[in-house]
Parts: sequence; C-alpha cells; structure tokens
Amino acid sequence: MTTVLAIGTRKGLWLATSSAGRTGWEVTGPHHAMNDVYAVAFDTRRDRPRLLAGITSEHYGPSVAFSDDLGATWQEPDHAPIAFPEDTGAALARVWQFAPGPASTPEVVYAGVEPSAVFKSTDGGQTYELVRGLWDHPHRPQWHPGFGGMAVHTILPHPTDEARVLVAMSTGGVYATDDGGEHWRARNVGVQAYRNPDRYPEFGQCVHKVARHPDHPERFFLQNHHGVYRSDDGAESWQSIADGLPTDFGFAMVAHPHRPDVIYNFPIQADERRYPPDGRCAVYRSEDAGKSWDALTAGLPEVFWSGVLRDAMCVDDDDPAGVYFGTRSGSVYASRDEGDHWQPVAEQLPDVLCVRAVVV
Amino acid sequence: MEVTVRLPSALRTRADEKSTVDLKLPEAATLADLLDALADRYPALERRLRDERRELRRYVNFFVDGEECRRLGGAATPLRDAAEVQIIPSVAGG
Repeated sequence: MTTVLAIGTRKGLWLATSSAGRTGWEVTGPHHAMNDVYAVAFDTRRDRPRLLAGITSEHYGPSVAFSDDLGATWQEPDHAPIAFPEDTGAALARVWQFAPGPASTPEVVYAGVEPSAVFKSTDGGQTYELVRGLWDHPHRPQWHPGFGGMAVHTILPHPTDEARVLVAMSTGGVYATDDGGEHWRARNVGVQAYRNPDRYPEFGQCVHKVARHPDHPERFFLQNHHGVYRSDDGAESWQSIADGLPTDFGFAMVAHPHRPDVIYNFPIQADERRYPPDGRCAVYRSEDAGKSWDALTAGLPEVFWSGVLRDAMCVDDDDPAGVYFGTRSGSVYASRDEGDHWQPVAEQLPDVLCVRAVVV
Repeated sequence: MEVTVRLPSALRTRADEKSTVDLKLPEAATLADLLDALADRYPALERRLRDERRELRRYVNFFVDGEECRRLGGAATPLRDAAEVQIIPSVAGG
C-alpha cells in the first residue's frame, strides 16, 4: 500500500510518497515550479486516482493541471479550463478548491475560485462551466474580500444527493443549494461576523473552513474568523464548540475519515496575533464532535511561531487514519496514528498552502 | 502585412518550441489583432498573455518595435509591416 501526499506551496507542488507504512517519505518537486498551488485534490472515483492542481503563475495567470499517474506527467487543456463568461465582466484570479462530486456522478468535479464563484466540470475536471445560480445571487455585490482575497474556498457536495452542495467563502459565509445549483440560500444562523456592527447577520461572515463526515451528511464543523461551530441540522443553525479550545481563531478544520465524531483543528491565538497559543505547535483533536478537545504535540516542534492555512491540513482514508499538515514556514508533518504522534515529511519548503493525501 | 513575435522561453513549450513566430495580419492591425492570430495558431498561449476579458496580463510586457505597449496604445497599439513584437515577462514576484 502506498500513500501519496500532495503539498501545494507558494512556489510549486511537492509530492511525498510512502510505501513503508507512512514512516518514510520520498519527496519530489517542485512540480509546476514557481506557480502558487492553492488547490489540490485526488479524485478517487476513477480506476486510477486523478490528481488535480490549481496553479497560478505570477506572470501567466491561473490554470488547472491534472495527472492520471500521480504526478509523473501532467496535462493542461489548450483553452482555459476555467474562464468567466464574457457577460460577467470577471476574470479568474485563482482556483482555491476542488471537490469531486458524489460517486453517482463520477465525472462531476466542482471548483471554487477567486473572485467568489463555483464552477462545475462534467468531464472529470478538465473543463468547467460557471454555476450561474450562485454567481447571480442577489447577495453577491455585498460579498467582500478577506485578507487573502474573495474566494469560494470550500465546497462540500452531499455524499449521496447530487442536488445538494454546500460552499463557504471569505467573506460571505456559508451558502447551500438543494436543487443542483439553481438556487442558493445563506446558512449562517448562529455564526458571528467579527468586527461587524450586526454580530449575527444573514451573511457576510468570514468563514475560514467547513468540514463534514460523509456518514453524517447533516452535521458540519466550521472554523470562523473567531468562532468554532457545529451544525447538526444541515447547516440551518450553528452552535459554538470552541469552549475546549485555547482560542476560537484558526483556519483549518478537518473531519476524520471513519469516525464521525472526530475532528482536527489548529488554533491560532487571535486575528491580531496570528501565532499558535504560547508559540507551541499543537494540533487539537476532538473525539466527541467538539464537546472536548485534546492537544496533540508528540513529535511536533516546541517553539513554533508559524501557522497553518485553511487547506493545509488533511487526512487520508487509511485505518488508522493518517493526519497531515503543512506550515507557513515550509514544514510538513504526518501522523500515522490519528494524531497521537507526528514526524516530519518535509522541511524548508516554500510556505505550504494546501495538502491532500491518497492511499493507492 | 507580416510581423514577427518573439516568445520568452517559458512559453515556447506552448508554441511547438518556437522562439519566434511569423504572422500575416491585415493592414492596420493592432497588437490585439496579433494576439488573436497568435491564439488561433497556439491556443494554449492565449490565457497566459490575456485574461478572459482580453486584458493583457499585468506582469507580461509586450514590446512593439522596442517600446513597451503600455507606453503606446496598449493592446490597441497599431503595428507596422515587418514589426517585431517581443513578449517578455516583467520583473515581478519574490
């Protein structure tokens, strides 16, 4: 059994491969050198996993590349895979997220992009069309850029119902469709809007990440710009689960692949102090859906003033699950025992923007 | 009229490894017309030189007979017969 970890950075993609039970890693790269790689995904619905990468050149703009041989070779369509239609007056800045659709639609792949929009592919992620329902949403003129840009950074297709998709954006908040993308409704009840005169508006929250376990499709976990929440009613309402964490700020939120009550988070001290609490590197795990949290530090640096971005933490689907995260200071850590112990996979890379793992 | 386009090394893989491309254009053609013709011949170049609004990529420079087009007429810069257009990425990034 081989595990492949894709590591998207500010200056290219690295691929770490382990055939030794996730104890030793061979790292190759940079692939797509000098392109920032905000989004990677493994589409495992195919005979061979397809690796998708959203790549953006400072000079030559954004693109999508895919590989059907785990990064040995790459393909890019001649024509722009993702492009805004002329009437929108918009231009793609970068891809922030890929999300393969449910197993019932094996060629459907969603892409979340900057400026905030969702695109849908029906050819396995090679070419995409704008999802008009969200683009035409009457709230859109009131969505504003967060510090990192204005993007749909999270897409969670329902695991069995292809008509239902949930997205999150900064800023704007959470939106979901129940009819295949024609209509979208804000789902932010209970999520606070930091530095907003109205603390609980219908929309406008700076949601950083949302996660869901496929066995509990009505339950979501959300890391907000201050605030950590759970929803048990399909994102109709949200309740705080931040009490057991040292801080309610952060970016990452990851669901365990097999145990629906297990989630991972990487707390950051505060909006205006974006360091881990006490300068310690600690992943936090809850095994009871957010009621309580434990700090996981074994094998992690004791002095750590870096951070972990919203897509720079992931799990594989092995058993026991592997957990991975990359840092803004270019280190990548892996745990092969669900977070109890950690070891470095790579160090001194460019700042890590995203990680995704697959077991083949 | 005929014009010559010189491509930077990073883009030659999108143009059959050519460093120069000769194009025939109608009279009174502009830089935008040249880019249209270039896109017809090598579609993979288009999104790397212009976005989907047909706006020139901010950090790509287009020198028309030695003068950067933004000091001329931008994409509307008229071309002369036998003009040379050099495409050079700007100094950017970190």
